[in-house]
Amino acid sequence: MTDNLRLNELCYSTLSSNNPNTYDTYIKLGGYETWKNILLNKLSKQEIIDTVIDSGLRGRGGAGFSTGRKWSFINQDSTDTKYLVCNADESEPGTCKDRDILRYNPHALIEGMLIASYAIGAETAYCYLRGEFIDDVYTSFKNALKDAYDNKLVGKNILKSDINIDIHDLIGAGAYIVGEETAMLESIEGKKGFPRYKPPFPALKGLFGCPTIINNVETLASVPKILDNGSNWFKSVGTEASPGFKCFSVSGHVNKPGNYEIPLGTSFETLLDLAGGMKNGKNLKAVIPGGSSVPVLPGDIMMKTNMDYESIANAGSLLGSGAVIVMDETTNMVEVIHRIARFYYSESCGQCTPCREGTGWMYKVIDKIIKGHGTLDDIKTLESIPKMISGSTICALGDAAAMPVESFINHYRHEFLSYIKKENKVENSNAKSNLYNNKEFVLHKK
Amino acid sequence: MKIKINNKEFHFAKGETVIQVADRNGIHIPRFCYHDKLSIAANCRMCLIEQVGINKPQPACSTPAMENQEYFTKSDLAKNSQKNTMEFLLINHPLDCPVCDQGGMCELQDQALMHGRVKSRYEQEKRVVIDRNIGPLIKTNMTRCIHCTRCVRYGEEIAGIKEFGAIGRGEGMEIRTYLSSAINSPMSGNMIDICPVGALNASPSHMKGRTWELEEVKSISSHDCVGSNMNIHISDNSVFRVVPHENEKINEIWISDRDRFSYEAIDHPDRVKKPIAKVNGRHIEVEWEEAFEIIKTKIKDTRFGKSAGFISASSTVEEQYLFQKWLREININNIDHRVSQCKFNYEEYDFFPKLDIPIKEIENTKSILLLDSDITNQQPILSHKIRKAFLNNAKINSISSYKYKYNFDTNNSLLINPNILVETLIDIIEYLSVVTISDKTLKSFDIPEDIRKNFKGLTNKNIIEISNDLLIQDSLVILGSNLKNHPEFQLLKILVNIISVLTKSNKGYLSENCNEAGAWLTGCLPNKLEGMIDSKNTGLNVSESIKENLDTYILYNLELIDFYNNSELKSSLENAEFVLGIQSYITEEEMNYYDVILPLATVFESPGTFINIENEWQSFVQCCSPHYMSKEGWKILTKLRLVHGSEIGETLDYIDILNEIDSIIRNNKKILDESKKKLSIDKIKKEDFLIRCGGDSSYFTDSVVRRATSLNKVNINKNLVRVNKKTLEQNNIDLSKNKIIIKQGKNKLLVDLVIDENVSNDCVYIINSNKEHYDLGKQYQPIIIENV
Repeated sequence: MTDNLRLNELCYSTLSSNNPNTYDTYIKLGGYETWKNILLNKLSKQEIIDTVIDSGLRGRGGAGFSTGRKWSFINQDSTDTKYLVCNADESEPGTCKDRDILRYNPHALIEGMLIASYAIGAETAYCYLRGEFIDDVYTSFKNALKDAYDNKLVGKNILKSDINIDIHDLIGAGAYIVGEETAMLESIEGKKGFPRYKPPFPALKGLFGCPTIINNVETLASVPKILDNGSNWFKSVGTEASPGFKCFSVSGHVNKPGNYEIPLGTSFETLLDLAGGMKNGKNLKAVIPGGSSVPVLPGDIMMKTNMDYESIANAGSLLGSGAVIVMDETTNMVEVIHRIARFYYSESCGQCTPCREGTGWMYKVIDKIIKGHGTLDDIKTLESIPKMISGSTICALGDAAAMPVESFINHYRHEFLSYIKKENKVENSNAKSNLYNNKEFVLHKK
Repeated sequence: MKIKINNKEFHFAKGETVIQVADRNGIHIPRFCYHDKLSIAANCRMCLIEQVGINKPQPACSTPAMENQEYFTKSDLAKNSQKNTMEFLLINHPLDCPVCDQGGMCELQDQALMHGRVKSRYEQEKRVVIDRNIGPLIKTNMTRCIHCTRCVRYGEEIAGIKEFGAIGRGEGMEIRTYLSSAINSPMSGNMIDICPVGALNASPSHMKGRTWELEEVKSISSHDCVGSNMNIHISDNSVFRVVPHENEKINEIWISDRDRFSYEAIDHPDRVKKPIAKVNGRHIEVEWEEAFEIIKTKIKDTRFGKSAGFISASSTVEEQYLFQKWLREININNIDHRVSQCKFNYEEYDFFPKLDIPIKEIENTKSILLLDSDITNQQPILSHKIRKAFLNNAKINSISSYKYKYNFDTNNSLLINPNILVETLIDIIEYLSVVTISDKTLKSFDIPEDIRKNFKGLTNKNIIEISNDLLIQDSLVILGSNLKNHPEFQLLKILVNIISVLTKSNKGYLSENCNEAGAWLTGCLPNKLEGMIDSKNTGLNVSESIKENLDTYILYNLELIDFYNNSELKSSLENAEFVLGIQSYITEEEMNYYDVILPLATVFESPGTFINIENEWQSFVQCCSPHYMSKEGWKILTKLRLVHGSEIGETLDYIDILNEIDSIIRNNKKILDESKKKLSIDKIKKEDFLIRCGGDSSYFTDSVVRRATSLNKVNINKNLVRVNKKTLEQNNIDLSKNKIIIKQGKNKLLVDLVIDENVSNDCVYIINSNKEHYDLGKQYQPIIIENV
């Protein structure tokens, strides 16, 4: 089934070479030709943006918004300084696709950043890497950037074209929230990573108050080849609404966990095959198809679903960042959500109320249930908290924390119920009357 | 442009947010983080409302009003969102309202009642936060904090000193100082008011009473020339706390810490409780009638010519009017209020202390020059206005003897020795005279020949830049309150006047006293009668009166350390036949100089009027009846007039006095004409010795503030002497030791030394913050430093 699959053609195209991340490899594979062509022929910005819009490339960070349209939000006539920011703060649990692009194909990202900067009229671009990338990933990108500078592809008066684009690399300090685009802007400005309220949107008022475009690593790394091969090449794979290739990070109970770049619209079954099938021949129980913040889907639904934005949305979840977490029949779903809830509890920035208070509350209720002290009322409460958080926070972290909890109870309610002991299976009104009958309580009240 | 809120149409201006439109039209939207004086944070999510066409609730505070949009503040979506936020806010809130100071005036309490659930579903452990000690003024109870960040934004945006921040993230986020330090902003107390919950409380009134037991009286601050409006909360005939009263023209909704916490001095042990008289060499408490009897016999005809009366410029208009009235009725013409001034060489050119523009206009000024002014500490509210101007891109320059810490940035900050301040201003005039030579509007204005004589060619680049900035339209020159002690204070005022004419800029002298304008208008001057009419019987000024060794001295609401040269004053008082004090406070040591002391009610216990720096008359009522046996000033002075046979009826009451002042002064204001006389100035001498600089500590400016216990616990680096390295080396001081001896006049003091490059060359910077420093003498006097 996986034989005819077009694998690793776009962002991971250097993987077939011996030294995938070197400048020479990238040049040998036709790298920087697009950029040189743009400089040489002074391609119009609008032409580039139109091609990207036409290709149907959608943001690979998770939201899936049309990249070309995002670029077109920049007011080209404005005299303000414009910025491009590459979001390489890949922190979504389960996701590691950007890490491998930075490790094995950093020049594609640099070329993509140059083209995007050119298209939006920015002379300064930042690549913000997550703090945990400080070792090999950061080094790989830094070396690539140095090579690009050395070959005069980045910097002032690039290849004597009068075009100046500087790329700066920045490394975060390890906060999940900085992956949120406006929190990243705050962090670049040297402030605490708190998301900004919108409007104003970054395309109008972003970094240092100037128009700014923020794109994911995979999105930007896809751009050079799209321009090189034309939008039709990109559209030739994938579905109509979700064209092109997408990197999936498959993890969990599979034999060959890893990153796989496949056409969108490939069936989950194929992807599972590609990842070597289920570990130890166990049955598939559940899949989180797009990183820990999207709703979980039961295995049987997933097996009927294709890996593209629309199919997964129809199945009741989101493609997100493409982190496919596979769980087999032995998995305890309450423990899974306990772990996920703890993550959001610890990573909530604390700026706005629903998320700051709600993530902790959800975790504490799940913790209570898992320790065997839960009641039926706790499950009711746990069901209502995500609804209270969703949609009322400044950024999407609130929703990200709420969606998994909601879906886990939805699909695996019986597992939660099994944690609730018989004596706890009383409605709270009875529990209250018990409390008042308690002698100690009455004494204390006096 | 129009929007619809709850089916009603409202107009809005571009850039307004929905909450602003709603507030203006009386539509209630709950909120915690939003505050109309602060930037938008949109973090509490309490103001979520429904916007038609968007399925998510929108925060009213950050949603810009958009043409033809429709909003609902009470729809199911809006109400549910608000209810949810409320539940979230309360899960980690301790709900200790019965023991919380904020209870009864708490925004969280009110809104929980309106928008909250009856019962909480949260059963887990609540968050507990360690309380940090952030100084003597604010008591923290951070467990109650709801993280609205109003206090953080207040520090960044209003106070201009970033002291608070949110440390940590998520549920563990904590509002605290970055390093474990105290809050030092001179207007930090406003954080207590803007805190919507009981997390930040006023320390002095902490756990001492409940809001609903208090009575509120509007009053006027008495500790600087701004005249901040404030509300005094009264409990059981004493002041419980002081909070701001909104007045957009003056203090907006802020007051300085000094105004907020000075009330603590009311019942200080130094308070004069009963009339005191010296009988057989001993001071004993006497009845009021006995005291008046003694005064009647002691202050009598034969001595009138050899008597002098001094009144504080912080007394009310009524007291000042009655004081000079009483003295002039008995032919005592030696009246003065300028006790901290040392020279009176240019009396006829001196002018009324006033800011030429309203306080509110300072923020629209485009260029400001500060002359030796520690404005951020001494007049925090004005400093806030200058900060606003600064944020409006005004250019701020300063010429000073110490690089004061401002809550705004300066363009040019020129450090000079106060000795050459006069020269520096003449330099500015010289430059201005050259650049304005073609200005036809200045044709009739001549720079006095005596000033021209001192022109010597300009070299200093900074002075040229500073002068150029003054030529910008809407500029302002401010004489700092420190300068009142400057030997050439009157000349400086004249020079500033010339500069303001040449540059068409406004000017203002900041007084430390709240009613200096009142003292002028009521005629508490040797050469002016009430209404600023020239007096025919010109008396002696304060400096002459002290030198003359008169028979009788009368001190009204003044302590000896308020005087420029208090050692000279002390010897005059010792030699005098009779010294009368009408005082609220007296120290045991100072008591020895008096023959009779009458207990005066403090400003809180008396009605009155203050005239602030923009010449605004503000009257206030009595907050509580006088404590102990003290009496209101106007009553004491009226009685004294009667004692000396003044022909006023026994029934004269406060309203009559007000009417009299209104008819004589207020409705008959004469603005002092610019003097036509030819100005002649003394030869400017350049002296070659160290100069003492640094004014009074802002918490040591008047008798009330000096005794406010909490304020005086604020760390203001007491007992430190600052000198720069160059000066120390020139004076052969051993830098390895951190103590030196300073000698000023006859006095000598061992002090801690700090090497500080913010001090000008040949200057020794000391802040007067305790009695020892005051005994040394005032600033701008020669000083000697020696090794230990």
